[in-house]
Amino acid sequence: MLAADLVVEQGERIAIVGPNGAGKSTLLRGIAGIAAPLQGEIRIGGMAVRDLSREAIARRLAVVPQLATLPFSARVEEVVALGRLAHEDPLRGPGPADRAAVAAAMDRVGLGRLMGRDARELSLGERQLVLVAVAIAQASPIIILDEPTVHLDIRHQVEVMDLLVDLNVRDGTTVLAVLHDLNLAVRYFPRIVLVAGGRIHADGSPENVLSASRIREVFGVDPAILPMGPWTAARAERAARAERARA
Amino acid sequence: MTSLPADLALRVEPRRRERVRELVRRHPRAAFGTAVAAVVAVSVVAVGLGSVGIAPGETIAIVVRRLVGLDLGVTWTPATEAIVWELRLPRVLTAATVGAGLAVAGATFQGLLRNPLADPYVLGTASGAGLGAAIALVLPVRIVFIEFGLVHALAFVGALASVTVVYRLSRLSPWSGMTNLVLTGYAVGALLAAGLSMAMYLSGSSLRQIFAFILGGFEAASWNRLALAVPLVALGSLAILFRARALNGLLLGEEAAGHLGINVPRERALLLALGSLVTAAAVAVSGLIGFVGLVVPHVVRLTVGPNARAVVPLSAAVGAALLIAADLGARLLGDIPVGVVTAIFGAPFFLMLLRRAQSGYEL
Repeated sequence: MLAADLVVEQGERIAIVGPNGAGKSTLLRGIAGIAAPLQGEIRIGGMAVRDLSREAIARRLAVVPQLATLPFSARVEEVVALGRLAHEDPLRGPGPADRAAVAAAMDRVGLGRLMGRDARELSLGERQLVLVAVAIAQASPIIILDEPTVHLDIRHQVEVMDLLVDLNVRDGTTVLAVLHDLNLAVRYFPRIVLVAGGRIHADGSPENVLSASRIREVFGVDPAILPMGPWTAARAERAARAERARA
Repeated sequence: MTSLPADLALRVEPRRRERVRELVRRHPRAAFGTAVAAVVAVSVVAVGLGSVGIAPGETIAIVVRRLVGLDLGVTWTPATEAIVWELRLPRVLTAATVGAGLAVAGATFQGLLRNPLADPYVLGTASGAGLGAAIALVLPVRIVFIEFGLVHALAFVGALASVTVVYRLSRLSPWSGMTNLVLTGYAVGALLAAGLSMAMYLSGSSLRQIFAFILGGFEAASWNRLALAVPLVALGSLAILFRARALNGLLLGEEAAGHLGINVPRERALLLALGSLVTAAAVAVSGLIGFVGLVVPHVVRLTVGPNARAVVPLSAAVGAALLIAADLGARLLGDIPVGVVTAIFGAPFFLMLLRRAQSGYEL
């Protein structure tokens, strides 16, 4: 059960954190229109999710799940092409625009070299990147990720996080990521929503939301909060913006 | 099969099998055309072989004369025409229709249930049809309407009724949709099979007929039965093809399909209904023929990839060709039931597939 009141502006980059069972995934599924709220409503771009078809929701919102199982062998580009389901012609299938979007998504994620490979043979990190590529191919203005770094080593964690910052800063994509790793949340996200005990406990900048007392209270651990290193989220954002200006 | 990392790959020439697979994958429409041509070729051969041999030229000329009234300058005896038109052609066409239907239904259920080991009978259709046919044969009633007996009607109704029961029951359970369906299908199927066993026990002299139905066959093929089976199978298969997008979306799972824009509950009901309709039509006409619905889509998918837009039509064509060939084999081997032929060849082939299959489904 979750009680929440949340407003997200276009172009924001938000991390949703909280202890296990707090309701983070429930919140995500509510936003994505999978779980209908008992009270109140969820709106995307002013339109109630309840009134939208699944296809319409998919065009506004892409969801990157934690893991997906493939019952059959499929090539990487065939999996990424699934992101175009909401766009392609239902009878004729993908067209040149869809194929271009798939190739672009794979390049964006750095998986161009994996084209033609069987998706079931990839490493965990590569598989997670494929799922992100699916969401990018979907070309929705909002991307929601459900614990995208759970099975990744540090290098792939950084890769995914950098990619999210890039998508947010360069394309203006609104990014909502449920994260279990507080360090990643604090480094890469300028706004943090703390969900605990079935409600939104706090909502704001990392310094305000994840203070030592709050961490002690919500997570039940005694944190040591160290000053952030050179790669603060703001720094990363500035760097990306400079890159965009140069281009 | 492991692939070499790109930077270490040598200039290894792909084996011919892989080159063919690549070709087929890249040109699915041409592959479909070839498969249809193969069906036609196998049909002509199957019509020509048997206790009376008939030259392919005569077969084609007879069909052309009957269908479009053209004279191809070939002569034949009335006996030949009777054998071709009244006996062998309906049988071959029924085998093609049933083969196509079972293969398409198999592909649909495999995609819907996300299980490469699913077949058209997985949700109780076989048991339902078998029980329906057994009841029809045990009842002391004889109704025949344009060559459709009580057997066909009750087999059709039994197949659809059992799927409906499975579907309704499965929605009562809180588990995920597809797992529910399979488990409920298993339970209901077992119950119906018990009913079938009971009917067989009480059947007395009808036992052999019931058994013949269960084993499946095309001996009683007729144009009238074809006239009903073909539209059901063809329209049902086309309708499934139009829903290929939903089948593709289910590849990553039900919840992922929803995120990708598929209305999963609606598509699940639609695909279930269409797949069951096609299966019921096939089973009512020719009994419970196994392995075609399991092996054909499996093999097609291994060649052409998981895209339903390619798998559904190709499965139909390959299924048709395969069942025509199996029926031919059954005839030439002394008129044994075609279900025995499909089992004898299907089972070892399937075991071979399993041995070479890749382990693990995780993405």
